[in-house]
Amino acid sequence: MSEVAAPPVAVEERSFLQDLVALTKPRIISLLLLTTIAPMYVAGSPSWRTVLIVAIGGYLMAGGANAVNMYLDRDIDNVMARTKLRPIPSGRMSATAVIAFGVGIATAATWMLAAFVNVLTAALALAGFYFYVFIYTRWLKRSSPQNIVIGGAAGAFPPLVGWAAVTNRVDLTAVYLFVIIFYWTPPHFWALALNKQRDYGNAKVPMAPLAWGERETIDQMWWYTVLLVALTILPVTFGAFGGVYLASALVFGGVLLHGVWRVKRAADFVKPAWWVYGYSLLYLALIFVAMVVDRHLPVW
Amino acid sequence: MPSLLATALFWIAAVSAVVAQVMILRSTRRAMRAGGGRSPVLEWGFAIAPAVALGLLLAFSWHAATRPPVIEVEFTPRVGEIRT
Repeated sequence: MSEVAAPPVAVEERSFLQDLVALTKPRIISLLLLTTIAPMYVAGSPSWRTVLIVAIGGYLMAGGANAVNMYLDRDIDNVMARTKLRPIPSGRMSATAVIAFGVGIATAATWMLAAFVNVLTAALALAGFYFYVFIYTRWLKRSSPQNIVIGGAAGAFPPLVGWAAVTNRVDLTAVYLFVIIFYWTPPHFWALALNKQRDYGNAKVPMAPLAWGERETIDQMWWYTVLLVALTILPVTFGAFGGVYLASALVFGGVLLHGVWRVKRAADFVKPAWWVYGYSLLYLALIFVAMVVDRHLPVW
Repeated sequence: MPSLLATALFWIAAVSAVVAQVMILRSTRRAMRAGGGRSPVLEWGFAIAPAVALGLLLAFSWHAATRPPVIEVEFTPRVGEIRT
C-alpha cells in the first residue's frame, strides 16, 4: 500500500464567505465549467448572456452538489487528511447550515436555467446534481469498488447542459462529449486513489486499489485509457469534428496513454500515478478546447 | 474527410474500444473472484451496463458515419419571381 505523506497544513482563520466558497469546491468546478462552456461553442455561437447565465447556473448547481456531498460525507471527512479542514469537520459551520446552503443554491440554479435558458438545460443540470448526490455519494461511494466508474456519469453531465443550452436538444455529438468524460473518470481518479489508499482505507471507502489490488486497478486504468482515446477519435468519423481536432485527440491521447503505460510498467507507481492524475486534468481541458478550435477554423 | 479514411478510422477506433471493453470485463471478473465488492450481481451489472451502452453508441455512430449527407438549400423567391 502506498501513501505519499501530505504536507503539513497550516490551520488558518477563514471568513464565513470563504467557507461558503470552499463548500462549492471552486477548483473542481473550474474544469466542470470548461466542459460546460466549450460544448456551447461546439454546438453553435451562443450569446454572451446565455454563456454567462449557464456559467453562473452551472457553478451554483455543481457547488450545491459539492456542499450536499460535504454534508453527507461529514463523518468520513474527519478521518481523511485531505478533507479534515473542510468547514464541517473543522467545526466552523454546522451541518444544517451546509445542507441548507447546498440545496438553496442548487434550487436557485434550477430556477435560473429554466427561466433564462430552457427547461431541458435545467433538467439536465438537476439530473447531474441528483446523480452526484444520490447515486454516487449516497449509494456507490461507500459500497462498490466501481463507485467512480458509474458515479463518473455525474461529472459527465456538464457538456449535455452546455449543448442543450444552445440547441435545446441532445444529439450524438453531445452524447460523445458525455461518454468522453465518463471514460476519462476511472483512470483519472484511480491515479489519485493509488496514492491515497491509506486515506480511503481509514474512511472505509472501497476504492478499486483497496478492493481489487493495485495491479488489477492499474490494468483497468490502462484499458479505460485505450477506450477513452478510441472514443475521442470516433466523432471525426461521422463529421462532428475535423483534422485539427483529430490531430489533437491523437497527440494528447498518445501522451496520456504513454503516462498510464509508465504507471503500468513502473516498479514504484507513485510518481507516474501523480503525473497521470495531473496530466489527465490538462488532457480533458485540451480536448475540449481542441473541439472549439476545430469548429471555428475553416474546414479542410 | 474522405469516406475511406473515415471508414478506416471508425473500424480502428471501434475495434480498439471493443477490445478494451472486453479486457475491462475480464479484469472485473478476476477482481470479483478475488473477493472485490459486496454484491457480485450488482458489481457485474455495473460492469455490463457501460459495455451495453458502448455497443449501442458504436451502432449509432456507424449509422451516422454511413448516412448519406443531407444538403439543405435555402431559397427565398423574390417578389414577382413565382408564376402560376
